Amino acid sequence: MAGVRPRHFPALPLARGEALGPFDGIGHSSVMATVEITKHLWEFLPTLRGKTLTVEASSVAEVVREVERIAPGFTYYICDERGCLRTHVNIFVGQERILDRTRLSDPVEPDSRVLIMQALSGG
Amino acid sequence: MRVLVGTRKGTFFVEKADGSWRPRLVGHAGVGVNFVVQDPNSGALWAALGHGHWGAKLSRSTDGGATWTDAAQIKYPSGARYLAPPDPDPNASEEDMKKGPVLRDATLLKLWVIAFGAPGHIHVGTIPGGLFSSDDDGQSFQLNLPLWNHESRGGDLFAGPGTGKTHWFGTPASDGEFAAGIHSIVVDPQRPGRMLVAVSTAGVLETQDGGQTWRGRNQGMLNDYLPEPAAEWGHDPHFIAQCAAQPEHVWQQNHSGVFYSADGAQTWRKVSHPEQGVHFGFPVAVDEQDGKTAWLVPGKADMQRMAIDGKLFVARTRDGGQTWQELRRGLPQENAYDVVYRHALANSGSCLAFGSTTGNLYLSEDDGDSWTCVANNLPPIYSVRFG
Repeated sequence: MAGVRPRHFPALPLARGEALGPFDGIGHSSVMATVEITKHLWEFLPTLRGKTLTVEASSVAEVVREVERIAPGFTYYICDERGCLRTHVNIFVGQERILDRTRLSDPVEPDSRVLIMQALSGG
Repeated sequence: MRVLVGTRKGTFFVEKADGSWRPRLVGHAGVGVNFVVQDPNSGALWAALGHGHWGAKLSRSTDGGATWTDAAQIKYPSGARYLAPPDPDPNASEEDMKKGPVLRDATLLKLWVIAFGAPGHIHVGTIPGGLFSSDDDGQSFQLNLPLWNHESRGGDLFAGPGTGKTHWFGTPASDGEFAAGIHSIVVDPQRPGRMLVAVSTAGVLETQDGGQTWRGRNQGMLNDYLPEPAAEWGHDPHFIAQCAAQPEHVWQQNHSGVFYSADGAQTWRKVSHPEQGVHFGFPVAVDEQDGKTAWLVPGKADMQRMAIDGKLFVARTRDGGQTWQELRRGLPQENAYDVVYRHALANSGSCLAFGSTTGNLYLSEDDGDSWTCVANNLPPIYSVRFG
């Protein structure tokens, strides 16, 4: 279904609460993005608990890199060894599900809201 | 003494207090725990987790299970590949269909078993068939390359296409991928450089030099579903176990029967007794002192994989498999459909314990002569170890 960008997905419980960031020394051309991460990951990465993150990033890959700095080990929860998004994980930028699950190259626009969640795979 | 239990939904301890054994959840609630075990050298507890969404993770507790944290994580190195059958493709050309196995990138699909050698040495068996070892007490793990690049697997696929032929096949335990898995690691306590691994599906391999070289150890194996039953490869060991005090005594519960070796796996002998139901199953446990004494939990081969006729029993031999006793006292003898996975039977001294996919944990304190069910409603049980 490449190219299809579903617009309406049921909401999942996401991390909302205390803001954290921005962080210094990130790329000059980057923009600010708000990152909300599923509560499911708070259990394994307690640094993320209750926080909405604000990071400087111009792509989803950079968003993931910044979250990894805050919560070491985060990347291996959502990506495999090659850096590819795990099968049952989804990332949205705004209303759009990302297209590039291999290199996470989807752009992040100014003031984007990035959602990282378990996929709605059922079961 | 306590029993460490890995389940589909967390880690449990079963401990004896006031004369009775009781289970309690101690960690990883909601997470699949394929294996949980205590390092006999450091005392640390290790758990092999399989998160539904988040991949396979190693977890460790250094405070007796009170708290658990992510350990160093196991990752396949860049360039690690394995040969696998191509995905069916109705649009493939006739030429494409004749090409045979294709190269797949290796990513960690499952952490399956954890074993310990000399102090600080930890080994982890995985799907898709990599053995990872640590010599720094688990601070880092490296893929064992001589085994990964073994000729039986097609040679060095980091360097190129290799031979294009693999004798390692898949296991359904890989959750959908057709990939091989290492589920048994046996370290010789008297010669720590000697180690056996068992692979589903390939067979048993041995190293005598600390993992630098490996050779197949499948002589005497008979695989009744292969065109050539005595083939060197293609065997389906379900689990192997070794006698601690007599490491030349090795036992194998195989898909095609029960096998015993009295010469350190150089040769195997089939010791099934199908008329007693001693043939198919997953786990095997060996007495710590007497290599001729072993226990099994047989099931009905192989299309059912259930307790035979709804009656659960443990089989015990004390003579190297020549004769078997059916131990049934205290075990359900009607309407029992327990299946016991390969890592879910353990022994320590005269105590034995096993857990089933129906969430029952059975325990014996008299070498298996009699049993008590000490937990009924656990999640499906994947592993049982004393610690």
